[in-house]
Amino acid sequence: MVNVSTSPSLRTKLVGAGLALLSATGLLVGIASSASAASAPKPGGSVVYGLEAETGGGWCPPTARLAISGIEVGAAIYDTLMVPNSKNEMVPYLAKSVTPNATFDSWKITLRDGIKFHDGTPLTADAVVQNFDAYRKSTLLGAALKNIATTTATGPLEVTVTTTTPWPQLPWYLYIDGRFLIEAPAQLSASDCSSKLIGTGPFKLESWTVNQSLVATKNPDYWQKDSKGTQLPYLDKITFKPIAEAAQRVNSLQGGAVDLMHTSDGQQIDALQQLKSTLNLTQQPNGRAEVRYYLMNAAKPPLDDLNARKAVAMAIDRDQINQLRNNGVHRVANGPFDTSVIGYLKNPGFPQHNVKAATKLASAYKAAHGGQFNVVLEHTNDPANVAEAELIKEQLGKAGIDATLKQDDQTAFVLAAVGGNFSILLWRQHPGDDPDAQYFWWNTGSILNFGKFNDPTMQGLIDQGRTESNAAKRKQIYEAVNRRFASQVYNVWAYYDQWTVAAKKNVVGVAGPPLPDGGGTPALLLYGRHPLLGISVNK
Amino acid sequence: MGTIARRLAQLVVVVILSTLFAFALLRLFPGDAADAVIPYGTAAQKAKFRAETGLDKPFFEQYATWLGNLVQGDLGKDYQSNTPVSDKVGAALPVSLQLMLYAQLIALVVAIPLGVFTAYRVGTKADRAVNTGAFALLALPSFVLALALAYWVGVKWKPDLPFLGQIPVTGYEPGWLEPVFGQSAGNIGKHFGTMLLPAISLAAGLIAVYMRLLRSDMIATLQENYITMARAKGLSDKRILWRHALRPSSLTLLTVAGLNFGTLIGGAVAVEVIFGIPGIGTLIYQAINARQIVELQSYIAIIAIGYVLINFSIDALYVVLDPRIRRARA
Repeated sequence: MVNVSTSPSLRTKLVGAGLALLSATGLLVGIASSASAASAPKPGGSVVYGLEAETGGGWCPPTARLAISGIEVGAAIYDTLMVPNSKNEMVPYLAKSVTPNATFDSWKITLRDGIKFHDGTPLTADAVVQNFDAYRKSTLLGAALKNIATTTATGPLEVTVTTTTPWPQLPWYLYIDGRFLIEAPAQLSASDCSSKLIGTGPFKLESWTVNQSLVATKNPDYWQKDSKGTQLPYLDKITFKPIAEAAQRVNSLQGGAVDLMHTSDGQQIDALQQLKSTLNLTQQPNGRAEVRYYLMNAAKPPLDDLNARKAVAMAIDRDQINQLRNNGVHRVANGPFDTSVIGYLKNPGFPQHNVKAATKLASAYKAAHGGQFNVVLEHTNDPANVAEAELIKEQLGKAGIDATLKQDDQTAFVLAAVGGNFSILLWRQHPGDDPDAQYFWWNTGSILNFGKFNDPTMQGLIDQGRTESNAAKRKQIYEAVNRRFASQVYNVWAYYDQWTVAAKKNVVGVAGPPLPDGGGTPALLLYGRHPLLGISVNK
Repeated sequence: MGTIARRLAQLVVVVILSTLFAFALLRLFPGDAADAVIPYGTAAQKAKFRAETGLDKPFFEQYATWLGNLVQGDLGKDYQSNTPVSDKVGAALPVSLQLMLYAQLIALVVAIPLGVFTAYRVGTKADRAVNTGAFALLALPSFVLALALAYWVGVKWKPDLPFLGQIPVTGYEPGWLEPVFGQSAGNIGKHFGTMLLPAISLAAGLIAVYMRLLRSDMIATLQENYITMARAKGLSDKRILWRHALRPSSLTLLTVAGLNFGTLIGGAVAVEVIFGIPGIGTLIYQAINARQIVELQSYIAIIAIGYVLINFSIDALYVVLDPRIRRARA
């Protein structure tokens, strides 16, 4: 049975203290360079954070579409009910506890007492229910939360959520990669909901000039303190600046225009690593990274044919792509799950690079289809994606597969995926959450199942995974999912796309302080997100 | 008075034609605003969105509604954030206007002396060298120069200049025009510092064009009889060049400089994005990516209106610059 109550046992306290000690000494796996974090954080100061994009649509739940930049601003202004820790567990955050019934179809969320939104109103069960209502109306998050039947305030600080099927992994859906931000009722009901940011988070919105900067100042009444009793956050002010061009973000850090920045671009990460003696680099540890892959349309010729998909998979040299496009900084993937996610298998049976076998399969396909085997490689207009698509085209050509390139802007690209009007998309998805958090991407008939595969075996497995609570059985189920992906070759898994946050040498604490109530340390850069309340500036 | 009425009529025609053309063109984009705002929405949700925003109406009805709103100062709303487009324009327009002004000033300040000098020294090694340099600048796209300047000046050199301070790689500080648009001014030194590299990036290509134009016109002017007369009277070369030849030679330059105000807005898109300048170029870039059709139309209308008004002003300047035109109009 899943028990995510936060009443700390002695064992939990000891584990929490141990983790806190490890964190303080900078020994946690994945914190590549944070030696200077060992000195005690000093409250005060301000930083400028270079983000990869502006969140022009704002933060209003029904319409917001948050990518990493919006999620990071969200981490400043808002909190989530749950957060993931470094052990791949969801632990309560704004919630004090989240407890299921015996059949996992009714969950009681108890909120922490005494927390206030930035406008001074209290965090209550009613406010949380209003958030659920708003998110369930959202087209994207609404699809993710479809399994929720009812949400009811059953006490001043208690919300009961019922689900249509048993749902042991519901806590992951109280986070949704940092997108399930709890917003004040005053924001949710405002006509300028997208820009009137009112949360319970460590920083309060001071000003937002679109395309220029979003300035947030310290929330002096924030509900968390560090282990020494110092009020969090440490910083007085944080300014977010959108700098769309990846190389310019690195330049801005070097030139002093920003104090920290994020990127998942392999070549920029390599460039940052060359500068690591002058910077603090925090890198996402191996284990729970998002996967870069080539998403194939299994509902349209030629890729509705398993042998055609195998030919594509075997024609693509993923090692070469990783070396040439990422300077080898990322790891080649063979499945949708990184090494710390249940369901990971070192060798799930995914077809390996073999031009000879690919050519043979491609020839057989051509012989059966009038001599044609044409695919379209569709990608966004980012220069790195263009270069990657060109390399894949060349590799496919060596196996006799004719590929043409199609460049889209972000909207047209997503539309191609939603509408199923594509053959291969250069895609990135599936951060290292629990595999059930991927359910709506693979569910047969879901608009978000972009590959359009209709596979009763796969559907049976993810349905079982959703309702199963036994850890050992879940492991078996998701390993079977992994093997099924490999045998049916619905996607060509390329590499794990890992995030790096680079900061000036005197900016420390990107990994964040330990989670409250012995919840462990925060998951580091899962989907690129990291807490902001532990950042401080060494004078 | 007749000229003003004629120009206003032209303005109306230009705005209607350009926006109608843009209106039609934007509807050729694959997908529509509903797809962009709610890509994962159901057909019913998208239909509801189209009905709410008027996107389900016939083409000319949509256009007439939008134009009617524009005349009343209503530029529409951003579909996603519900922000009035006029608010966005109010914030971005002073930024772009200042950037364009600085780029034009830098271009003219450099191009005019070079144009005069090369016309005076036509056919010499110096003339050929300057011309070759001008061609090189012309061939260099502004975004390439922008990236190079950002790296070499902002990262490698990092100059800390008096008044301007350290030249940043990206970012923007409000300047002297923002208060006119009801916003607060920033530190003026910092403002010029943030605008220096973007303005140079945009000015480089213009320098070459302006210099070449002025050179050609000056060479022709220097063949005129009144110049020969001035020489015969013993006026110095400096006085002939700057007082008697430059003014009548600058009409083409002025016309092209005016036309370039429109071009600069389009050309500034890449430069604004690279340097993180929150101007109209950045808004256009984002509106295209987000299929914000009403927003884009409003930007196109603003550019068209600005384009006509600036050229109207330049037309009026002809009279000041060339006495022959003044006499002809009289």
